[in-house]
Amino acid sequence: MSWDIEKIKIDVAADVNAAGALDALEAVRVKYLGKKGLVQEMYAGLATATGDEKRSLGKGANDIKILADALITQRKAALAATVKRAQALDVTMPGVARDAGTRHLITQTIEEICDVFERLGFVIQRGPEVETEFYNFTALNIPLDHPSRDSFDTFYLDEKDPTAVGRYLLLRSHTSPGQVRVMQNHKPPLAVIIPGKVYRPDAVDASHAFMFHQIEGLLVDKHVTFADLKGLLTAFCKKFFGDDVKMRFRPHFFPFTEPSAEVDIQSNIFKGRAGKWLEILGCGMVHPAVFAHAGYPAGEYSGLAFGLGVERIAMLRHGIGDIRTFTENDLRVLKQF
Amino acid sequence: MKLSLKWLSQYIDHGLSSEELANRMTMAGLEVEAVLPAGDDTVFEIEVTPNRPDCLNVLGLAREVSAITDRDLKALPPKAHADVAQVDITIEDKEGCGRYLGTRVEGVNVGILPADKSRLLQAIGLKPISNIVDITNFVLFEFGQPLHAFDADKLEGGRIIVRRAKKGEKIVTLDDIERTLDEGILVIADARKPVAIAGIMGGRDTAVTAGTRNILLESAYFDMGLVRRASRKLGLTSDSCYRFERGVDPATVPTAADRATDLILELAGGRVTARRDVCLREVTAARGVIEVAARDIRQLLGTDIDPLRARRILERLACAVTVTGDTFSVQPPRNRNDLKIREDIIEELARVVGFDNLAMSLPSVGAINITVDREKEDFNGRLATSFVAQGFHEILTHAMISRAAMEKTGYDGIAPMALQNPMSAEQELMRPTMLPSALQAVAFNMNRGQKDLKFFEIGKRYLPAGERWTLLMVMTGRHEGDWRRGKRDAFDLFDVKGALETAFAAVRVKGLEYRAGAAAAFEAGQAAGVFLKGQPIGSMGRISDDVLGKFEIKKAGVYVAEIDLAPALDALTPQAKFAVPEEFPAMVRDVSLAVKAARFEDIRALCAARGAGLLRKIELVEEYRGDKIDKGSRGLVLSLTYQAGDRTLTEDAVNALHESIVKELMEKFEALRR
Repeated sequence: MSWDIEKIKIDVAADVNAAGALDALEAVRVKYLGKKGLVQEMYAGLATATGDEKRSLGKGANDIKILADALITQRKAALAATVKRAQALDVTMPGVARDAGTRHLITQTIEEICDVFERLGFVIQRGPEVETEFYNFTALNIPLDHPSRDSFDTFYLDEKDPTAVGRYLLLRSHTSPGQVRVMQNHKPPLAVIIPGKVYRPDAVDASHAFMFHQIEGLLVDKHVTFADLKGLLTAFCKKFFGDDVKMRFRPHFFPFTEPSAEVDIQSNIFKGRAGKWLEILGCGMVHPAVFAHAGYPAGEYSGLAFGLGVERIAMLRHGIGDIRTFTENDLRVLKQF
Repeated sequence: MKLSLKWLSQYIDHGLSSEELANRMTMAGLEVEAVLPAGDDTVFEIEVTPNRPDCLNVLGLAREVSAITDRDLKALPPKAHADVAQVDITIEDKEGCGRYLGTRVEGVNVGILPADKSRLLQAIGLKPISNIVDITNFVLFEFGQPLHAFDADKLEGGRIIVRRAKKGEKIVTLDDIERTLDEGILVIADARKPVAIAGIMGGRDTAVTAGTRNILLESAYFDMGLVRRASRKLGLTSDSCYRFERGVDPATVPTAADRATDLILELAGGRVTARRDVCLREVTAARGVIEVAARDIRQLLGTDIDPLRARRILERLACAVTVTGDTFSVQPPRNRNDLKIREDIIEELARVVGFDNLAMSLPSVGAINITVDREKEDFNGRLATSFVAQGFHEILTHAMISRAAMEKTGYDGIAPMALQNPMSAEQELMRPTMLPSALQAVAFNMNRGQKDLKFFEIGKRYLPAGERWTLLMVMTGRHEGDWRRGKRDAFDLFDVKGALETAFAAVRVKGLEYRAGAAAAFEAGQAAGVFLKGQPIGSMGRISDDVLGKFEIKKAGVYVAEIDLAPALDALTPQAKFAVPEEFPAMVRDVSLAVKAARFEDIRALCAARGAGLLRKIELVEEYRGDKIDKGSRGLVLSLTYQAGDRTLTEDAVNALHESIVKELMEKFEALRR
């Protein structure tokens, strides 16, 4: 039997190329390299061949084996790559995640403000929301029947005050009652921050709510001055609103501080309010009458106090126009902060 | 308080533009809230704080401007009148009225006020009425002393009696409204009837009219508290009332009366036929002297103020000042009720100098005398952090609720605290439960098409015994989507329970227990009472359709938990101690059981009790309820993990232990192996 080696080489290449899938390629392999394949057949032919014929047949069979092997391996890799390409992930499909929740903007703001003061050495204290007239007014030097009480309009509860005959409990109209409570329980030096809810019977509109949040600050020691008050609140405003915030201390009146001031700020971060002074907090030096109610000896201590409105600060900072937004709890809003 | 700059310029040349003046006044504590044009005049809208009634008039403000600008006031010497003949004045209520000056002017021509004065009044928003009435208003705004003019011929018996009203007595006031009075209200009466509500408003029937010829001019001092209470009771206020309740100076009573008298004589004619000043209160007594040393100023402000400057400021504010060494002896003017102590005087200096011009320093916050339990202080925050990590959104709800909302939830606990003066029925109670708040938040969102909600709040409930920190959890709708699975499971009780347990684990509170059944708001068979150390601390479960309907929530499974946090705070476990991870391999054996009445907790407890110290974990893999199991039974697949701390367990040993446990479960709970 004679073999046309060159033709077989061409056949091998043609067969390999024609195999469009791995199983077809396997059939080609079996055809040439299998146990009953062409190459084996050629080797079997060696037994009957002689001389030159035997030599050229041996070499031809080897060549074909090597060629087929190489072509099949190459073709196999190419086919496998095609299959992988077809099975590849669409990496643009969305990731699968658990949605994270959110803190409410008001609690976030409270925590952020408290953080600033905690880093300055203040500690957090809390006071009750249901208060007595003593802590809400009397101890703070606010006469019960005087126009200076008008800005602290108050909800009264139908619940007798166990500490004062004929008087009723109320909902604190500011966080300042906490000042006296802290001072009654602790001797100076003290530096505290008192966050919490306060209540006023204001007609509800875009800027008034009957429940809102304040943060009270109080620092009492031997030699606290108005300069300290200015420095502390300036440091706070710069940390909270940014270094380029403009501030002014405007004289004001609070019965429980003397001198008293309100702080106005201007900042570029308040959209649409550029160049306008916006009041953000009230402050002053603790009035001697308050120290007296706290049971501190006269003339021994001086102190500074301040109170911030949380809703107002959050509204300014985030451009929220309506205070009612905070208690609506609209999921679409909650998710924004 | 409205201030006309033209009017102001009659008393001081401040030499400033209106913008600069507004700024300087604001920065001295008289906040100019608006600068309004009024023809060729400019009007400031000034917020005068309640401690400064002396600034509720043009002269008082001029004095402030004088101190702020360091310029002199123009002199205004009022002509003093002397008492002539008697006016019949009787002060019955000596507490309520400290001084009453009546001036009788006869033969006046009631007409209109000349334009130069009328324009000033109109600039600050007053309507011209008649020359006589306008003059009383003019002097009110000039000196801050309220005045009233009666038609003298309409005063029965020509008498003035200052007394308390009788219960049920009536008066028609100038605004044409009939008002019913009582003993709490001070009135001016003639021989027969009240003719004015003292300090608040005159009566219609004795008012000056076009035909009036003879008038009685009232300049008086009434008790501030009495005026305030009457004003509140009657719901009636006026420029006069506003000043009396803040405090006027009894010494101004004759000054203002005489100024008005002069203006009446000049502009309306007539002659004074009687004048009588009944002064019960000592008004000549000077104010006490307050000593302020340079050291005091430094100690309060942390800065010095030039003594010459300081003295000039105080004198321009009408204080009498004497200086001894570095100490000022300051006697405030009579009308500065707010200057009582050293700090008050220092504030005057500071505000006129300008707070922004004072020194600034950072306080050193040293060792503070308060120790804080950080663990407890951070408890709410750490709890919140865990809920946020679990996909919950924090909400903020009102502490007040309506009785109707409370009743909708079937609340039958301790009677809540009610408000005496709620603004509406929506806020009449301090909430004893947070369930209404939760359901309102759900309803609000569902109405806006948002059906998948995971909310929490750490807030308070309010009981007569105290305020209770409370955790509220709300879940409704379905888990977030996973496109690989397609299907989104609806939330149920076990989602609430799992989230609660994860959060409590995060704050290291262990040992929550659950017992079937809970408060009225929940669906029977789908709720649990939550217990900690045997004590009930709250409930969780599916809100009943009935309750949901009352909150207008339709077709939803709404799952809520309300947990009292105080017991949890008390049950904080200590910081974890390190444990060496187990070294020897664990072996897992599953068992599938069909059980009838047995609770998972009982099965779990039995396994744990029989685990011989080798059972490390008991996991529920699956529950099956359906056709492939006997009616009344459910299938439970448990996965038990065995492990020893000191050796590798053999297959035989584990199998023997596992089988013994399974056998006991089958016997004890009539369970069948599936």
